[in-house]
Amino acid sequence: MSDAPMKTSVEATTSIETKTSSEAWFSNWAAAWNKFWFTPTTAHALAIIRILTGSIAFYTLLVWTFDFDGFINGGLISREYRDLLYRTPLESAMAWSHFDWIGPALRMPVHMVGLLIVALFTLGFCTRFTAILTALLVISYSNRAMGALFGLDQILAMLTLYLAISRCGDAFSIDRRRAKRGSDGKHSASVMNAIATRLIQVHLCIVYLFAGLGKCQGDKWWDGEAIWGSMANHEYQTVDMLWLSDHMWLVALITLLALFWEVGYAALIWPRLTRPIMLLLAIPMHLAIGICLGMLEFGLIMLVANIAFIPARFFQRDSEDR
Amino acid sequence: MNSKKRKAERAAVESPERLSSATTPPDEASEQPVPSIWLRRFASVLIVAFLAIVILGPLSNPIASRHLTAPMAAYVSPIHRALFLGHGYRFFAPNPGPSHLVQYKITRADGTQQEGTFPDRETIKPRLLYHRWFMLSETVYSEHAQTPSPREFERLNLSRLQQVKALNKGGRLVLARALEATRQREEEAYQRTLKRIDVLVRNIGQFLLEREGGEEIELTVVTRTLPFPAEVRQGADLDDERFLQYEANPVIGRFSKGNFAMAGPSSSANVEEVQP
Repeated sequence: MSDAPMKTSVEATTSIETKTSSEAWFSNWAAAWNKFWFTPTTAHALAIIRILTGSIAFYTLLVWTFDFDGFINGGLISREYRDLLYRTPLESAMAWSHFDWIGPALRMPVHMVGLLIVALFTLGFCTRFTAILTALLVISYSNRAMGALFGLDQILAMLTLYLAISRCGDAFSIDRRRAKRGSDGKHSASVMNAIATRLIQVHLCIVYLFAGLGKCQGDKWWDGEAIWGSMANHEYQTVDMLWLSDHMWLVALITLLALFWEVGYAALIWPRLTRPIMLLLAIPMHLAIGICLGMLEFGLIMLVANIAFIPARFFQRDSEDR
Repeated sequence: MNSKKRKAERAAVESPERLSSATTPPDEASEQPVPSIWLRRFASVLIVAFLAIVILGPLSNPIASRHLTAPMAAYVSPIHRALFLGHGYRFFAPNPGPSHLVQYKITRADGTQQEGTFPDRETIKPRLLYHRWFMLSETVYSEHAQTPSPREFERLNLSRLQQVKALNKGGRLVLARALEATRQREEEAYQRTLKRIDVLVRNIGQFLLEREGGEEIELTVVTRTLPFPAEVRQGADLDDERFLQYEANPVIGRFSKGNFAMAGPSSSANVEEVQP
């Protein structure tokens, strides 16, 4: 008889405590989510990313000029081929390219206008507008040249897409210089900069995670000879690294380091303690890909993406007048 | 202490203004108001949905679960195409492999022949353009060499049909229907792949023939295998002929100028397939 009310009271207390702790858990989570995505951030880091990404995008688009008939005018990769890549007509239509809508005679002039837009974006002129156009151009060229693409195009599209939603023209830009004339010269922080930066960071983690997990399936990454496979590939080789054949232990060490770095990136890039280590390791890894394997643009664009993990204030010092 | 902290965090969530001052470092002082809670909720839904679309790319490419990620990826594939997402990101995975080249032999009207290869680092510059041609030769190889020949596919198809018949006979009708559906899907995909290879090789053949000038062109694929460290230690060069490996039937296309309409919007010359 006397146990029953006590039991109810204990149950009630537990229920209240549980409710309170679950409420607290949710509110903590919500606060962390808000802080992560919606803390207004200045444009400095994104502006650096804009200049570097814009420069690489400009060069990438410029290089198409040298074989324009083959890759862009449809000589090598025709619309028919591209349509056959997709399962449905809707999917095929969505893999759009503005070159599909204009005749061959106009394509080169339009290409030149495209180059001008990307140059203006890099310089930060009418950036809200040129950023969106640059992202569309990068996507359009990539959809057009299916079959001749590689990682560079994927990361370029990713970065320009997120820069397009940001206010990356608010620093280190012509827009900034023009706006400063009529204002107090202070940099304004924006939530869109935070969202764009976070999207680059999370997307980059996804890229590295799947690149790493994909390598986990390969025996060459476990027996330590994968890096040899890259360095001894005649089509990739730009710097002779064959002296490594005398030091296969070093090849194995670099291979395993690269594997663990990629797999661990998504987790270790966030803590303050390990972030600098991960960023420092990114430099030799991507530069080696760029210099030794002849994919300089790809190596550089991966490094540019990593800038998203450097806080905006790092670039902000003494830059109030820029 | 804990309850104070909790209250402060809750207040930060509920009040955007407080959130701004609580989380923004002094050197990033905001001049722009933080969006309202409803706008943040709406943005959060968009962010989660967008990231789900992003991650569906590598979860469905190159391999997908037919029960989960494949149908989901098919659903969002128009968005993947429109924004150029949906990649697998398996760089140099699972293993860095050998490279593949396309060799071509052009016969001119006077009977002289010209041979070439792509990618060719001596003639294709700058390096990025060379890499585009390299990726094209890899695409040709993966499309061509990794697709079974019609005879092989027919054998596979017949064995599937026999399996379906056996299952029907044994009363396992559900399984028989599922296998038959898979067989039909595969057959459709195979025909599509064959057509795609045909179009790609014809495009390349026509382009080279127009550029170099000639009457006939023959295209072959070659694999350049990777040397072992021991071979390099003994002085082997990477471009040594011994590392080139030809398939049993390396010719992927043989075309000549004629009345055969080529695929491709920029086609001006007509090319005829000499041997299928």
